[in-house]
Amino acid sequence: MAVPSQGEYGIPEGIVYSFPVTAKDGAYRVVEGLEINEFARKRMEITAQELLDEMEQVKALGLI
Amino acid sequence: MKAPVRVAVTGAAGQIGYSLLFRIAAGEMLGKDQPVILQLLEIPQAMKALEGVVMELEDCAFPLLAGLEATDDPKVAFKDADYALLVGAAPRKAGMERRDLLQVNGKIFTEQGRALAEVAKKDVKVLVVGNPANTNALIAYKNAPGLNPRNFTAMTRLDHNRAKAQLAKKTGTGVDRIRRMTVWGNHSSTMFPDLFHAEVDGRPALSSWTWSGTRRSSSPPWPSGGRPSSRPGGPAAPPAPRTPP
Repeated sequence: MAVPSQGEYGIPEGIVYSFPVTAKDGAYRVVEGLEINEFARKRMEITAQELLDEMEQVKALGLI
Repeated sequence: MKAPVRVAVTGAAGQIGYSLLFRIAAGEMLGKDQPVILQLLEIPQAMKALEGVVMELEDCAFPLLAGLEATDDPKVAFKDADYALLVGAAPRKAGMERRDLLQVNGKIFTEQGRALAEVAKKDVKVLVVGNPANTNALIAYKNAPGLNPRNFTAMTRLDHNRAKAQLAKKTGTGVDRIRRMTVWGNHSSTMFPDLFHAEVDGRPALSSWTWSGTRRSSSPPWPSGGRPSSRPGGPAAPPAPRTPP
């Protein structure tokens, strides 16, 4: 599920980023503590960067 | 019977709505003991079509469907909503740049964020489906003062399910035997489906046992016919992410 990041796994705060989550009693939690290897880290960063770029674009459009 | 909850759905007369609404009304979203009131939003041009959808929902005589509202006004659609599924978004038209798409959708999700903050229940749970989903969710929550940003999510369950299905196919197993699939990031071509934590029948998805030992088909899992590395824990490169529609 993509949720506003609170900095989990070093993902910039505020962007809406898909994380592994568990849900219980109407609330969700990001699964923390997963080991991230180099291959995965690179790909996680590429998609984070795309979201940062989209955020800059919507800021420039005055939408947020 | 529990008290009914209000589920708002935008883009309700569209293709996704046509699959989604009947399942919500049948109890498949919130459970067979939870009555729902559907509050459906469309653009003015689609209100006639939405009337047709309403008639079909009525024809189904769903016992759990405690109410039905169709409107083109977000403040009516989101009134006292417990859940809001923001499915409707502006599609990219020929000649449109990404900037134009963001601008048109920005308008939609700015208005919807504001309307939700004004009239929905304070702990409304919002799922954004309309693309670009992640950024539309960002726009919505940034324009919804007073609502908790963590109640705004974007749908990547499709990406997750798709990854599970692909892994099941490759290993000749079923999705019910797969656990710990993870998808990271944007619902776009940069989405990263992560097999490093995934398990098939309790074993790491990327172990050579999984790839060679459990497939039912007689043809090799790799297009070239080659075998994955049998180094323990050594990753074969995960399948490239499919471009989402």
